[in-house]
Amino acid sequence: MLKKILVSTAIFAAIFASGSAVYAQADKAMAAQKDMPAYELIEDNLESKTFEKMQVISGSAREGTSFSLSLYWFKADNGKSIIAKKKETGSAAINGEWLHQDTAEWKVGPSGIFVQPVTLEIGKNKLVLNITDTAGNKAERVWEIELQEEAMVKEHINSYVFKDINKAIENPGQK
Amino acid sequence: MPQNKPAETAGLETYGKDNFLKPHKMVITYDSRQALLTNDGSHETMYTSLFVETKTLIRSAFSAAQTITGEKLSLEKWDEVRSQRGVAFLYGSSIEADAFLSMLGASNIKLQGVKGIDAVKISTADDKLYILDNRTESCFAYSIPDTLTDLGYLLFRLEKGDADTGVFLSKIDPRQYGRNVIVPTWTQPNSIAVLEAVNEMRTPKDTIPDSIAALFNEEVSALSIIKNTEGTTIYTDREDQVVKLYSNGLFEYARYNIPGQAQSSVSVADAIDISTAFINRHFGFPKDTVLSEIIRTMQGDKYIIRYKYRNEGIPVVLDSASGAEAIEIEIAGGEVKRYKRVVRSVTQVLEAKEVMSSVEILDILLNKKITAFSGENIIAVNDLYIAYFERRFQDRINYIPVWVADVTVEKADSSMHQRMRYIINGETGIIMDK
Repeated sequence: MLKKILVSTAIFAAIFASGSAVYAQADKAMAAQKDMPAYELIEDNLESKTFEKMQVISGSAREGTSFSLSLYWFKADNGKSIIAKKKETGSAAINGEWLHQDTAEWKVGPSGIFVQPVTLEIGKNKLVLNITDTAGNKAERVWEIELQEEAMVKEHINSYVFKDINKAIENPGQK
Repeated sequence: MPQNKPAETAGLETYGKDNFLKPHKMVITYDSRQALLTNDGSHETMYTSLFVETKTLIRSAFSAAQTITGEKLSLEKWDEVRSQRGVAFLYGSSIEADAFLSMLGASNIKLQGVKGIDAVKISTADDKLYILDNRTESCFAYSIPDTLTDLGYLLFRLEKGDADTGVFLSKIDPRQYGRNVIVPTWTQPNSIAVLEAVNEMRTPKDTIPDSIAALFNEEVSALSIIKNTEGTTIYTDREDQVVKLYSNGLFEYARYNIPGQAQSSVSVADAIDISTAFINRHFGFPKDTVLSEIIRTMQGDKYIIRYKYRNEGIPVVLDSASGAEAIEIEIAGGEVKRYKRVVRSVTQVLEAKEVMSSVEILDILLNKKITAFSGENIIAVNDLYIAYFERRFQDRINYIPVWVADVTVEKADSSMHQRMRYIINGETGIIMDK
């Protein structure tokens, strides 16, 4: 009888512990390091170069966490974007300055999620995300993203189109 | 089991059943983002081109043989696939595979293993068609023999367009949000016009309109008109057929005695054909009508098919007292037993209302104060979309922009889970109906 009770207790404890483990695991991603706000970003690794003008910063955080997202655009010292200068300098951030374009601010509500779109300019962009939780803990994330210019987009498009044309040549019976 | 051939087969060309494949949400995936394409005025041409091309490619995946076996994959694969470049059709409810094939014009084909179709995706990244089947908790992959040049070209044209960027909320929280919950994101506040509308059918004075007489098998002279004190006009042959035209614009046709094989089974493909032909003959389908759901008895002898329509790409939803959808038809033993419709004609575009974002709406719905007050704890959000909701003020009918949330709730007084639909005013965030 005692053995039965012990086994039942052990099973109950194991079930209870595994349940807690599930919740603990789920919360782990958002668990704050000490003195750091708890948040999770979906777009953690934004591409450093893109053809997509529209980017979205989304994720989850505790209710009440404040975010501010600032967009900067790099103006090369001759007034042109860094793309126009790349042959001359060979390096993106040598001569020029970051010009502030826009800042969006929001506070996470009861849903615990946020979705913030941002429109990039042609050339080099910098996104600075500041996070402050309700306890005043702060964090910052910075991304530099280069929005490729029109000619490069066309080149990109052609690579797809030519892939299909090559396929059509290889399979002349198909459409 | 005997299979009845459809009695109603004429008129299919008026509104082709392939139109019912138009999805609840059309999602375009570029290299690193999604866009939601709606069939509104500015995107109609592109929407139609993409719909036709995608449909053609789906058809081409099934052209090789009569029984098609796809590669069965896990649901997690679907999560990967939806991020690949291409076009996806997301459906509001699961469509039976045979019904899908019938609407595609491929009734002779059987899809091995597929029970229901919740979404389809043409991926230009690997030239494949993927089917999401929540009933079997699987994803099926099929090779597309055709080249993807046309679709690829359309995607590139759209990439530079202004379709709303979309975000799958299950990427943020897969426990709270369903796989197909994708919401638009706006860089500027989004405004949607309020519309004024009138009933599609007006009650005539003392005559029987030809359109109503055509529903009866009798001569017009054999029909009676009855008007009750609530303003309902009833047309009947005093035998087994009746038409009721309510003062709120609801039209209802019923036939009580179905002759012959009322209990015999009908295939879902035949039920769709019967329904399509009948509605085409009697008042027709409003522009941009899509299939909402097909319900059938286990024996396959009765079907209820529901349709909804959209205005400028935005679905029109009714309040819970007016019925499930704008058009509903019941088929028993291969005959139409009941036909109901509440359709309006838009007469005027009124002022535009600024619509709250999806996250603002979720913040309202998931606010603990609101759930404590309502006694309904939302445990999952299965769908979230913008719609037009009908409001009546005396004789005026207005279409107001709203958010519709299809949620699963846990009642405070029991541990029972229940599917519910919340209608939230898009401008104010007030819950208007559920």
